[in-house]
Amino acid sequence: MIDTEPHLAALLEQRKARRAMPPYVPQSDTAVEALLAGYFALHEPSAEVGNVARLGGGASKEQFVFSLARPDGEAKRYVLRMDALEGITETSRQREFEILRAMEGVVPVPRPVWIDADANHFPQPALIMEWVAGTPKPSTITLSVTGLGTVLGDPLRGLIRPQYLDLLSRIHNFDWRGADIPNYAAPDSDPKQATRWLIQFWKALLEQDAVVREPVLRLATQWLEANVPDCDDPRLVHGDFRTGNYLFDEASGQITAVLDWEMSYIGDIHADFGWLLQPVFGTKIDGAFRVSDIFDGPEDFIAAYQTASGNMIDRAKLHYFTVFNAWKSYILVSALGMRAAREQHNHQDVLLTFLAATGPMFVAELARLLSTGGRA
Amino acid sequence: MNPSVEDRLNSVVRAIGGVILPALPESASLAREQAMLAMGHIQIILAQMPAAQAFANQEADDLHRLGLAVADGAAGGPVTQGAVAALSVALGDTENRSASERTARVQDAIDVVLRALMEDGDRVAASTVSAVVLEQGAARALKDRQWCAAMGFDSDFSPA
Repeated sequence: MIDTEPHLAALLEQRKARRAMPPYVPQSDTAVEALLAGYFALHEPSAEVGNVARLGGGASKEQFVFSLARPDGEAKRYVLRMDALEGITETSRQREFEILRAMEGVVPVPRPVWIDADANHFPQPALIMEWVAGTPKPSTITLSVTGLGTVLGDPLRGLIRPQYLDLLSRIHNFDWRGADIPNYAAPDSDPKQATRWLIQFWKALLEQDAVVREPVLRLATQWLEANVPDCDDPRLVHGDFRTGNYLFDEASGQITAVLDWEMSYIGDIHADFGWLLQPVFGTKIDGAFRVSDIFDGPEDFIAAYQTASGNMIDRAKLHYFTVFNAWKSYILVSALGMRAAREQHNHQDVLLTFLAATGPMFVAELARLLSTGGRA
Repeated sequence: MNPSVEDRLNSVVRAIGGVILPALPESASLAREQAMLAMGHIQIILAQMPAAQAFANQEADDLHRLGLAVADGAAGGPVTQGAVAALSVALGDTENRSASERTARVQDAIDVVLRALMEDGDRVAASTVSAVVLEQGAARALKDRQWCAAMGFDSDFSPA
């Protein structure tokens, strides 16, 4: 068994069995409506399913919006979020359900309502959450691949900035030890356990899914294993809190929901910074990099975060997690994504092969970072 | 005459953009996104196609050069020596192999050497090999990024 969180170690084993399965057939709206009708016949027999429609966006899950009409006349909208056979990430619907439930009242999230973690009813693990109004990008943007490079522009940048800082601070300062998140393991056996678990999980995914053996990735893996920093105060790490992964009201700029918690875990908050500071998750305007298009570069982001949260950013740890996130990003797009596309195990193969074009950016970044001998 | 690959792909792009996409309702957001991505893919493939074989050959040559440097620099105990011997075989076994096959075989063999160096490699040799892998890896990644510039993700390279 891999030395990682027990729940994730089990996921790694389960996915091996899926590898031999035939090509994945995307769910039609009609099929999903029948699935939902069957599910609610058991769980809420007096309610009626309607208005099923597939949602775009994202790069890993099949998502459908639908309404549930109750006898009192109330009709609420929900989102069904269901795994494909394989995708650009390997995550747990059970954990996502738990963390969404735990974060209610801490930050705005879609309220999770039902879970079918073991695919007892749906063909794949699924969760159902309440629909939240809002948009992940300005309406002027017609095509934005999973929100990458989204330009918010003014005045949205200024409206979103203080909210974003407040939300990220709330996430990192969340009392996870008091939360009901049984499938998130507490990394408290030693100060390196949280990051060691993280590295071993992603290394196992790389070993399972690599379609080519990229030499720079091997060196990066060895460097990450040899240089694990201490994490004396594990916090909740969101894992992907970039522009594109929160909803906002376009008129007011009010953030209505923080989305995509699937890569969250208990560990070192520097991981969130290493992720968010990657060029691919920001914009470049007049030659200047903007973090999630909100902040005027890394220093502006870090300084503003430190003031808002009271948490300090350690530059050596930030460097470590900058290497980690370039490595992880390569694994996502060039290993998991490409493997899923080759096996025809996803509903968005054409998107996965498109995203794989970012792989060389991460190789270049890793070569640059590792050439500096451990310093940015 | 047979229709050229370019003519056929261009006609597919026109069918998606001129017929299929307009027929999709605004609410079919995933289908619309997929149709636009499919068009984008084909247009980029059309632009890359004339140079695709040369690009694959260049990649295989670059990996061959890296393999030679790794084999030359690596030294250590029996595990490392065995890995270097296997790499040398892979480097010499190029006949009747496509560029992508040559690239993959050498990548696999280099990977075995890098793992072996961690096991019983000479420390100075391991450091030398790491330096050459990073240097040549960076050079190779630059070519790959230029090749993928039209995808529009890389802010250092504007799409042609």
